Amino acid sequence: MPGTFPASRLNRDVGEPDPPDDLLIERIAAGDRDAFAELYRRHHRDICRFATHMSHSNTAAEDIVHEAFVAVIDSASRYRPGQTTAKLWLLGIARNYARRARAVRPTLSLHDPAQTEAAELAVEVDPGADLDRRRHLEALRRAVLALPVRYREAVVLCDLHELSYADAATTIGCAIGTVRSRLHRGRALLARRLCGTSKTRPCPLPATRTIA
Amino acid sequence: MSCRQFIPDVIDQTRGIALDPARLDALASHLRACATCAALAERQSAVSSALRRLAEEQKVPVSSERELQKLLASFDTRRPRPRRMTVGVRLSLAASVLIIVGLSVGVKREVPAGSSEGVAATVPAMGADSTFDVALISPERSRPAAFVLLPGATALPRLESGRVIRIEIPEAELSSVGLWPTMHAGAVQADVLVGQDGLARAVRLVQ
Repeated sequence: MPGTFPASRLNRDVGEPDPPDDLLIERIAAGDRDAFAELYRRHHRDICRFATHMSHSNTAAEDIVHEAFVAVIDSASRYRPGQTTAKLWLLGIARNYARRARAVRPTLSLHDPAQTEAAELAVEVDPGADLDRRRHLEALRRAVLALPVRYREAVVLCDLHELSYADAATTIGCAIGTVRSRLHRGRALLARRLCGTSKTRPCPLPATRTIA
Repeated sequence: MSCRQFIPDVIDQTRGIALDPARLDALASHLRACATCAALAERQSAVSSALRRLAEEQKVPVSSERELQKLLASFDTRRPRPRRMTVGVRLSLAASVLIIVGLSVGVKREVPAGSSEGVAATVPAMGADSTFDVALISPERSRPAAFVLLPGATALPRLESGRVIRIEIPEAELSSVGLWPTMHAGAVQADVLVGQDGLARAVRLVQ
């Protein structure tokens, strides 16, 4: 059946553990298309999530995912297992294409983000009101998209993908301290958009944890 | 500590990163005493909650078979390229080919006594930069002479075994391989040391 790749084609028996990502990439470099299909299935979701958060439309995200996996075909032989992981390597490739796509087709900009989004976000969140919830999430997504790309990368990788500072630094290709400062700056911008500009007025969004 | 120094801890804490107990105590004390930082913590906590919801509720398509088929079609047309040879190895190979072609004029294989293959004895390992004593190859020869490394031979893989092939070289071609005859004989005989990979490593004059 087209599109299906049974385990036997990857030279493993039933019950045998899945081959590690590093081995898959090595096989891809040797021309193994089944290994490529397996790598796609394992990581498509993560790369797609990242691309969606980094781009302004689903179409653009799909393009980024496609380009990233095509790049895997060409650059599999340059993958260095000890220096990174397959997931971080793929995210790094997707990041490059996201930046390239953004240079060609800039993301939408919000003319008055502080007022517009604060007004949209400062709704009474009612668990039963699906419309409000969806509206809230969409506004939140737009707030993330409106961040400058260097801050957005840090927020997406650290907060939405829950990468450690070290892994995010590997993906972006910068120092850990740089990731931390970009994340802090990005979150400060988000807080301003989500909660308004007042530093002492309580945020209208519900907080789920308190630390004091 | 100033408020600014607590900000990283505030953000780490609201992101769910565990702080060590001493820092956590210091942060909690500070937040109780500082309304501005307490408000910051609340705002950052709200940001964390909102981002968590966004991450949880984002709709991500499951692995698309149609997209995979497109990618596999790309895979078939693009085929991963093998690792590229380094420039040094390329140059060495090119030099070896040129030299072999140059030396091939009037190739004549030596047929040692008792051998039907026209090949001398197996050659022991040789360092890349060492000269090669003919006595190691053909102990029966009465007048040992040193081999001269061919240009680019040092970049080739280490010689583990090899063969010696006797050829005739027109006198005019000798200078191209770094040899000069002492008399004018028209053509001279030379031994070429060929490694296990079929590439020439060294040459020497027989006469």
